[in-house]
Amino acid sequence: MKRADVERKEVEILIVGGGIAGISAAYVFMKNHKDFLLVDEYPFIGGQYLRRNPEYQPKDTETRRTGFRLESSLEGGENIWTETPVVGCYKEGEIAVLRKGKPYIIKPHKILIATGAREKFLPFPGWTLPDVMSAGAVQALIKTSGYLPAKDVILAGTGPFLLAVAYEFEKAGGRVKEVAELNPIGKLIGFSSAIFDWEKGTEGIKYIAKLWRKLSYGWRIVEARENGGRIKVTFEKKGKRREEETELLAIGHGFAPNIEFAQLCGCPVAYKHELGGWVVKTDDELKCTDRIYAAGEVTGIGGARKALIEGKLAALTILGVNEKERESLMKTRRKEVKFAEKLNTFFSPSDKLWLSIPDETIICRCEDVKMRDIRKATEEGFVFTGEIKGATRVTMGNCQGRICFPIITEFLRSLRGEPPEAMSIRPPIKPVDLGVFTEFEENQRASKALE
Amino acid sequence: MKEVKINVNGKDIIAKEGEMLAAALLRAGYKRFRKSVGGEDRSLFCGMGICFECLVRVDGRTVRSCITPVREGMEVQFEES
Ligand SMILES: Cc1cc2nc3c(=O)[nH]c(=O)nc-3n(C[C@H](O)[C@H](O)[C@H](O)COP(=O)(O)OP(=O)(O)OC[C@H]3O[C@@H](n4cnc5c(N)ncnc54)[C@H](O)[C@@H]3O)c2cc1C
Repeated sequence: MKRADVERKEVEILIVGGGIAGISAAYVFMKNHKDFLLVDEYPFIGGQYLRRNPEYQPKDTETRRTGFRLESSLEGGENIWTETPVVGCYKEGEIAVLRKGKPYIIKPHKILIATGAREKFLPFPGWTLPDVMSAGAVQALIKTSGYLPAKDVILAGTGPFLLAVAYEFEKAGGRVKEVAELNPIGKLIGFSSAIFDWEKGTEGIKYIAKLWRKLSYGWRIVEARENGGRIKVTFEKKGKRREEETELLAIGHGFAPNIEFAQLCGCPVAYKHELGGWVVKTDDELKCTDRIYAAGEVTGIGGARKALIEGKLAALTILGVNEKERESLMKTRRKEVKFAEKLNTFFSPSDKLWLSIPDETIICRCEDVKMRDIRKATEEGFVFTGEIKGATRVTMGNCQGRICFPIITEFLRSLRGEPPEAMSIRPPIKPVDLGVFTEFEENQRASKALE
Repeated sequence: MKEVKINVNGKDIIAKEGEMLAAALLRAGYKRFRKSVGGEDRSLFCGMGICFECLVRVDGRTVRSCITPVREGMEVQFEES
């Protein structure tokens, strides 16, 4: 690839991530005739919450209605780049992206990071089997592609998200055999009545009304096995075991913010268990550094409504306008965060469960590193994330620790009472075909030499 | 969604334009996308571009099939078990 092949582009504001938070901000910039560019690696905007499919657009909540409205007013715009992963932040202020495979270097004056979150898992032997999938994958297949991946499913893990997916699975024509919530029911009822929220509450009631016969509480998965083309799941509760059979097992144990790009840009991060793990630190107006702002799940797991509010707040902060409105958004945001902290704390596997992951469980799916290896490394006195990585190869695979690092973090936090330090991040943070990347780097050097 | 033809490891299959490639592959009965380091079959797991279990080659480029939309005539390759 020749030098001319890397295009450069200057822009006032770059938004990384087009989920609810990103489009909420973009809408403000559009209305204010600002020069902005929004990039997202998915082929659609709307992120995890909207998951674009023109044939599947439930408008059941106010947040969803607003989301779809924002999405359709932005979609197809020249400054909305889909299928565009951000792969690095190479020099002060230079952001490398690949738009449908073509490399660009973007030079923005300000950056809004809205990279969202991913799912988190409490692994068990058998979670790597082909018929075990994340709950999010099941939802994505149904919503984005209109494809029901099995006739029947057991959903297991923790959190209201499992109910949402179960509800969608049945609506799409499948049969939910069970939704197994890790946490005990007594705790759950007390919790729900303590923090009832109208929009989320009515959504929850809708799910429970449809599914209540299928809900179980306090059971954890001991293992999953393949059995004649189906999955056999062993559950355990207070020493009692039972086996269930299903075509598909869907699991999910909460969410973890995607902080890697922010880390690469030098934004401060902090571990907050009540907000899903490692989060990007901001001030009350969502500012991280001089030129960088963050909004949505990346500042702490809190759902779509929090993301919507934060996107707008961050955009107004960047523009420095509407002080009154900003103040009221900050107030609502604080309420959302409080609610989220309770939810995340409640729907989370206990320390005991993180500590009792069986030795033979694969932790790093990319490199097949097992729990035994991690335990051994900690027993041998390796303390820092980098040391454990060196000793076991954990986090060194294709996914760069996106799946296993949250597991290691929770294990070590449960073991020592405090989390390990964050993982160090290096570009590219998204896969880049080798040829493109080396040329990219060379190009960076070449242009530096020219300056 | 409009139906289109794509080629998977030399065989034509019907898929829906714009759906994610992983969904098209699963629908057509392809479930195992790679062998793990330890030799086990792996399939789609996270479904949102994070875990890399569903990597395939499309027209010579390595992509995550769960976030790659289906386009008429695309050539898909991966190792079948
Ligand atoms: C699988 C899953 C399902 C969920 N379902 C629900 C639900 O049903 N209801 C609910 O209230 N909440 C749900 N959530 C929580 C959800 O994260 C929030 O409600 C909402 O989507 C947050 O919006 P966001 O904009 O912060 O993040 P997201 O919606 O996650 O959007 C982030 C966007 O950033 C993009 N991105 C990330 N990194 C890069 C990069 N390096 N380069 C380019 N683009 C990048 C992603 O492609 C994505 O589109 C779900 C979360 C997950 C992970």
